Amino acid sequence: MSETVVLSTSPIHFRWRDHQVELPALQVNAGCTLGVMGPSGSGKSTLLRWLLGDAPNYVKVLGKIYVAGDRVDELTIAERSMGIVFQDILLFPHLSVIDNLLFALPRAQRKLSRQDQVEHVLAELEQVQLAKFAQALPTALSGGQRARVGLLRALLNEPRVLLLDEPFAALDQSLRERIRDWAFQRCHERGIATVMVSHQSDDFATATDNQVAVMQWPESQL
Amino acid sequence: MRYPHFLLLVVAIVIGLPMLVIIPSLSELLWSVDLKQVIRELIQYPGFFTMLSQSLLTALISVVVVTGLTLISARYLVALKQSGQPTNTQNTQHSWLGILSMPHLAFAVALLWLAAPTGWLWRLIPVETPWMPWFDRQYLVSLWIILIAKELPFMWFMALRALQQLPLDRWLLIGRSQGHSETRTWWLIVIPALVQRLRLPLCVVAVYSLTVVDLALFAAPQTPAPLAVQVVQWQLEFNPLSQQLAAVGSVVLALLAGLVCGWVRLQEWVLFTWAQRLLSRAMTKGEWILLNISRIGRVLPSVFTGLALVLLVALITLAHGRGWFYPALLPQQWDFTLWINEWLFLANGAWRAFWIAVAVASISLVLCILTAEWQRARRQKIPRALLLLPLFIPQVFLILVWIPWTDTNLFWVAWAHVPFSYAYALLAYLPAEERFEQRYLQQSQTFGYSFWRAWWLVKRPLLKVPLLTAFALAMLVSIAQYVPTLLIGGGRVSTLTTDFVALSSGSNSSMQALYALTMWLLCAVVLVVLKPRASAAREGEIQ
Repeated sequence: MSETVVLSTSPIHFRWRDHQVELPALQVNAGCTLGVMGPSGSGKSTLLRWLLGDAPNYVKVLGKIYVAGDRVDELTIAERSMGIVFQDILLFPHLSVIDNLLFALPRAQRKLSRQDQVEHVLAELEQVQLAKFAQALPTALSGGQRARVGLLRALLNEPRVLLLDEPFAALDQSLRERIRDWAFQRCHERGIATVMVSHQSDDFATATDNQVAVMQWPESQL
Repeated sequence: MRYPHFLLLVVAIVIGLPMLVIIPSLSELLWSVDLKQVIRELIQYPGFFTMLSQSLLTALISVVVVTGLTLISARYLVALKQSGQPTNTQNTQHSWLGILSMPHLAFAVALLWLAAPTGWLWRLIPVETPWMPWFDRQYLVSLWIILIAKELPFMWFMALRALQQLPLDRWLLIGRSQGHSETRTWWLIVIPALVQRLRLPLCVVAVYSLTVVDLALFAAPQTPAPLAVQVVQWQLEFNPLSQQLAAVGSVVLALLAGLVCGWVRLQEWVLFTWAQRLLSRAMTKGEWILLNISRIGRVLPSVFTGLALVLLVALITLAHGRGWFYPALLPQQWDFTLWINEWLFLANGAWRAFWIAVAVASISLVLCILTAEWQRARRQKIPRALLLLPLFIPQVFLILVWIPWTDTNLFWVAWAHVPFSYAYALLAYLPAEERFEQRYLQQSQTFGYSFWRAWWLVKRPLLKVPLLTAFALAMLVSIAQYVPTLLIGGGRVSTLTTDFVALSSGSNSSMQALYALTMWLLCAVVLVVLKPRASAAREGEIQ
């Protein structure tokens, strides 16, 4: 599984205001994680937004993106088969936990009966010990529970690439490690290529094995 | 979103093009008439300078009083916000919308009937001579009072929206930590910031007061009339000189509009300067009183809600009372025959006004959404003053410019309503939309939904209240349009509003009250139908 390249890019050139950053070509295999480390405000999140198809228009980006060999940088967000989890998780506040998850089911599964969809989602929730919160609103969950539901929602959609924009930053260290390891494990099992940015040096320290590669964000050349 | 510029193109065609038409029309006017001669005629027209000063005075007094009353009520608005119950704020906004919904003309009929020297109030309170003998249709001051009373709820509504965007709790905390009282911090820090955010709505109030026609015709039909009324009358006369006077008069109105907007900026500067000076020294007693005047502001919104109810009762009694002579407290008899006799006319006018309003509000709301989404997609903000341009240019001026490009039918009448409804809807929608977390849409798109599908499934439910409010406001604005309906429709398209103004010159007050009541009912129905149920409010909804 890990030999198959899922996400790859050409060398990338970022330029915004008084910053200019050159990144080498990126490559992430199925089930593997690329950790991108760097200080806050250096442009790491911009990399994720560009991969997703939503780079700010004040940033000039030159580069190409391929998912499973197909070029996707001309496609819309919906067509790229990428999921994202933001730092603030962004569960839809007006929907219950189960509705948040039902919303994210892949297109093929949305054609199933409501009963089947609910059963499928409940089974997934059960696996993360959150089934009893199915009908709760996101505001009723703790930070760790919200992070798990957010990750589960992204994974349920079966993306080929998962982008993690410091989704564990708000959690305390032991919880952060547990949830991060759980997320990496899930992505590995499902063959999802993951890109995670972080400014915390210990984020990849305990997770570094042959599935996780860490890249230091280069300094601005201007 | 694939083609964001397409959104702007649609808005530009529907709203921008009519504004651009001003340029060729104005140059045509300047080249085709002997401008010097027409200006000389205008200046020499009997009572021209009285008309000019009346218009200017009306605008300045309205805007100064409305600013003052809005600012002293602002703390009460914040108290509502800080009550921590969104439904409470929502209900309050809707009770103001109740007054807002009352068409200006209906409000004028009811208030004049209530407080005029022979009105109901002075029959209820046994005094030898009424306290406000000047509150009558013969005096301009009646127009001022009605304008102020009608614009105030609109400004509260805008102030509440503006206050929701300020970090009030933190500002007050910082102020306290630096040794200032809460009242002092409020007036010296919060109020200047609030006034800055109210600049555009205040300009809207100023320009509206300067150029109001229907209300001036009803509330102060004295000769000479305010300039905007005279411009419409010139336009309706068929001789070429009158039409040239109308054209040049409307340009004068546009220049005056610039002047009153400048006044809004000036009073803002005065407030800033005062606040800065006061920050650096101890307060005098006079300043202490001024700072504490906001206690009065606490009761104002409740007074206005009560007033709306009293006015409704006044309209109902006036419409159904017969043989009601001064100083009788109640009419000799009640009858409903006027409803039966007028039913067909009322229903026709109301039906047409309603459907025009539905079409206009739908188009306006779609344009608002397109404007907001273009701004989001491009991460650029179109200057708010540019978007609200239809409200800063005197309506009479715009309509006279549009007449040669339009036809006298329902389509063009509805089209002429759109820029104004759009601008008001934008005022209600944009501040709330800007608080929406747009990454929800990106997140939804990663699940395979198209941009507009994600908008419908996620953004629409979270912005339900501002969307409905904007739609309701756009409908109310359309229903109340008089000058566009009269002049673009060329008399061939009548609505409840045009019928009502036509009646207002007569002396049948029961008939006027009946039309006023029907107008209000129509607007109230719009509000009741569109009012979001507080109990159905969802978590995370933006109010």
